[in-house]
Amino acid sequence: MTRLSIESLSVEVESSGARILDDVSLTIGAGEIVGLVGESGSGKSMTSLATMGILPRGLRATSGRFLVDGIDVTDAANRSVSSRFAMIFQNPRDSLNPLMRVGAQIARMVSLHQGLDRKAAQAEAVDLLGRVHIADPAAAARKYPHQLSGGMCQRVMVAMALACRPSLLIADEPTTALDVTVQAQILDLIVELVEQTGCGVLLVTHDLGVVAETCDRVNVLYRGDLVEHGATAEVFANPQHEYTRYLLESGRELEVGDGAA
Amino acid sequence: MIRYLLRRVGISLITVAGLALVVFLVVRILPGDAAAARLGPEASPEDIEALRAKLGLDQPLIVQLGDYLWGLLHGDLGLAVSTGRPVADELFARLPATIELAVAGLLVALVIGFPLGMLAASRRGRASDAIARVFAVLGSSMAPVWLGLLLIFGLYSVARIFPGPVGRLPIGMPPPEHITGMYVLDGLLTGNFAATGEALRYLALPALTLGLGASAAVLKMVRSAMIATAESGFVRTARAYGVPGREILWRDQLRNAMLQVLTAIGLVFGFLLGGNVIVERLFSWPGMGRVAYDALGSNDLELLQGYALIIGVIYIALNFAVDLLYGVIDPRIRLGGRSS
Ligand SMILES: Nc1ncnc2c1ncn2[C@@H]1O[C@H](COP(=O)(O)OP(=O)(O)O)[C@@H](O)[C@H]1O
Ligand SMILES: [Mg+2]
Repeated sequence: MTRLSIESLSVEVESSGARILDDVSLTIGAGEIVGLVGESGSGKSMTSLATMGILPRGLRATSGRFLVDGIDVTDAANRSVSSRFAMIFQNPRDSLNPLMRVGAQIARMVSLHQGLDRKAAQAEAVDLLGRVHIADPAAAARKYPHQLSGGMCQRVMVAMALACRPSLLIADEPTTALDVTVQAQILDLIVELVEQTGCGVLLVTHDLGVVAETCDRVNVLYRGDLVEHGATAEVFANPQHEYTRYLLESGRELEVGDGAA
Repeated sequence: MIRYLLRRVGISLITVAGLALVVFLVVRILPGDAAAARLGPEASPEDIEALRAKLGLDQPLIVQLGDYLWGLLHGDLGLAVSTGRPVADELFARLPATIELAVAGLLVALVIGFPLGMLAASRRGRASDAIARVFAVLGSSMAPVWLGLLLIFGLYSVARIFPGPVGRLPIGMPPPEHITGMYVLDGLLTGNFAATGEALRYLALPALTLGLGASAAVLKMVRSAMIATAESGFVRTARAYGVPGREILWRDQLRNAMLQVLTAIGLVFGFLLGGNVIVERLFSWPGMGRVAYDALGSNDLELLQGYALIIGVIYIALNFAVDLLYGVIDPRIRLGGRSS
């Protein structure tokens, strides 16, 4: 069943009218991990932010509809609250308030999305930290972001996402800033989360290796255009678009390079 | 946190020592004979020699420095030649008036600069932002004398809302019983509310003069700090998850912006304490700046030297206080720990 469908999303720069995204459409099913790949600057993050409904200042969506379980939520004030969308970002530590304990930051999303009172929300926050496999979650809840490693901060962000009981998780380059060993752990965590909650995931990355390992389907973005989409295995085996072939080839070169190093 | 504190204390002490050295050297290196300058053109060579000996000016520089520092350690800043009283007494007697004015000026600067800076940041690029920025440029480029005269003319001469520039209290009114030396505060502490009221009225114009100029600086800092935090990752997270805008503003943005603004506020306060010589003169405000101004006129190097030293020490103490505050509000400093 289709959880989210994005229909012809276009985004432009307000001042100049320059196109950032042109008629992008994609769907994500319940329990499905869908990849969105493309080189840096191709519009992956703007697709994510537009879907959350928080485009940065100076950008504007000129067209596009968002359907969640078939219901139009385009006009919802906040799609995290109305449709239980959650998002995690590339730089997990920067995504957390440096002056608040991480437990309090999760608890605030818990009360916002589950309507629990302070105390219950705090307890739930500790619970969620346990669910993302942080040892001694009660101690971790009392830490500030700067006291945690990047990988731990990303786990905190995943716990925060869980606080929304998400129907959809957007993960924008969730492992790019992390060490290789930690990358795999975070990806495993996301996969586990999908199995547990049945939410859909839009996994944004420029790393085709990540896509090959985790994504059921993949969308290829090139300069704001969605140039190719399909089941991951098919796209990788038989790329239709020239740009996809280029991506795949440069990806392989990179892997060969990594192996030699 | 302890290490951080010790470091700050150490740095402050070293800075104070350096300051004392610089003040000492500047006065000694100035051309001309200090003794001759003091006694005036009519003095006989014998008198000058005698004074040189009395002031220790015939001693080697290093001995003079030793004497000077030894005196400082005992709170002895030397004698003010123009009045014959100890420099420390002259200046400390005036310190409360200067502090009262600077605090009032800072309050004015914050009350005006903070909300306008926040407004400008939230309306970035729009008309109110432009107006606020024009105000900032005007405020920081306007000479305090001119602004002060304008305020005196408008609010005293014409509108008669505030009293004229004749000091801290109406002529003939006795000051409240001395506790801190700050009349507004002493009036409150001793229940002498009439004195507090009058002190506030007399404080208004000089404080506005000082504060309006400084509010421009506050506005600029607050604006840029609020813009920086508005674009930060944690504000993006809060927005993504639907945290209400007002909560984001107060709990996420403002508190983090404060971290950027705090240092600058300390600097502004230091500037208000040390940089109000002109304003004190204009409003006949009997503060330290007035003493320094008069010392310039009477060639009283000892007094000027003491003024420079005290203002410098206050500056250093302020910086230390700001560092302490950081230790309190920023967990990255309070708790230390990794931060890559
Ligand atoms: N606030 C903005 N104003 C103007 N252009 C922007 C803004 N933010 C991003 N862009 C542009 O939008 C394009 C897509 O950016 P982004 O979605 O971040 O790329 P990706 O995430 O794929 O690396 C880039 O060319 C970028 O320069
Ligand atoms: Mg991006």
